[in-house]
Amino acid sequence: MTRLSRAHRWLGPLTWYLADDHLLAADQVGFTVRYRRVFYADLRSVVIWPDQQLWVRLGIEALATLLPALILFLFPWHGPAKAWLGTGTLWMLADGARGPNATARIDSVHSAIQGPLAPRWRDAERILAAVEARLPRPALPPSAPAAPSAAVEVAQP
Amino acid sequence: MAVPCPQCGQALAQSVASDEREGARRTECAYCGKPSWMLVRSAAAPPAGERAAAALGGAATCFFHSEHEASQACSHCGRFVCALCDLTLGAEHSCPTCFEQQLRAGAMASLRQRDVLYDSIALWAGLGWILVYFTWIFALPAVGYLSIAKWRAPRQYVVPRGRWRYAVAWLGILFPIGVVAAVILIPAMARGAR
Repeated sequence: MTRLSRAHRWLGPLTWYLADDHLLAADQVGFTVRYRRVFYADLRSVVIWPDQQLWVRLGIEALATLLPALILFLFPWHGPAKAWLGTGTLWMLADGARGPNATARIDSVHSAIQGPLAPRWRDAERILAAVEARLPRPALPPSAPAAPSAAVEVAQP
Repeated sequence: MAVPCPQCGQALAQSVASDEREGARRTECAYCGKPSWMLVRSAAAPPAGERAAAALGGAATCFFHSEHEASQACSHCGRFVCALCDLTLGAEHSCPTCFEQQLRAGAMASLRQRDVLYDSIALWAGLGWILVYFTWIFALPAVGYLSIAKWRAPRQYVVPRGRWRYAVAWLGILFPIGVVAAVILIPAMARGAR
């Protein structure tokens, strides 16, 4: 079983695995993991689109950086405040550089699952390529026997 | 096959249905213009089910259908089964009886719907007492019980895990004992040296 992606959420991560014949979603909430399986043979479509979570998270990160820094600046020594501000800014820059988050909808014959299959929008192509590589190829229809080429016909006596 | 746009709900995959293309590709909704990556499979007919071949003279027959030729042996009990009775899960072949037994016992990882992470509970108990120090007395038996009774659990999850969480939990539980021992022993050793 190969790990495909992992998206962190407030209550626990959602991890996707590529198994031999199915896509496995391990949804951890607290100390319990619930599993959902989508068999490749039943898969109909996967759609991944960017969402707006990044802006919400950047806002929370900005608050978590600025408020403690302002409190720390009230003290006579400003070293810890500057360190906190610098760390928070670097964290936000790194988070912003990774681009927007993404949500996915996976439709199968039996059901549909919506969740972060690719944690970031820029990972969508790679994730879909990995899923596509596991999909069973449809059987080709039996083809008619090939007609003899003109060169062969000329060579015949 | 029409795939709705996740943003506006309009049909996103009109072009896919028309030109019969498959595979991952980036697209934009014709109505709202929002981008998305999509992987669409054509709605091909599902593969026809296996048919059990009739047994010829001398051929091994299915345990459950004496008129069918055996195609596999059950991975658990070894009974010969025909293509009709052969239940395949990953690399394993099961006969219907073994399949039902294992399903009831919850022994088949590939069919399990949920797991309880006992090693994570032990880890939180082993380190969480630091927040409320007097809960150490409850955390000690909890970590002891989980690390012994559920020692094998992390290896049997659908996605197996290592057992390092138990080790870290024990380190957290034994840390105050080590501190107390050091506080008592170091002065005693120093006195002994004098």
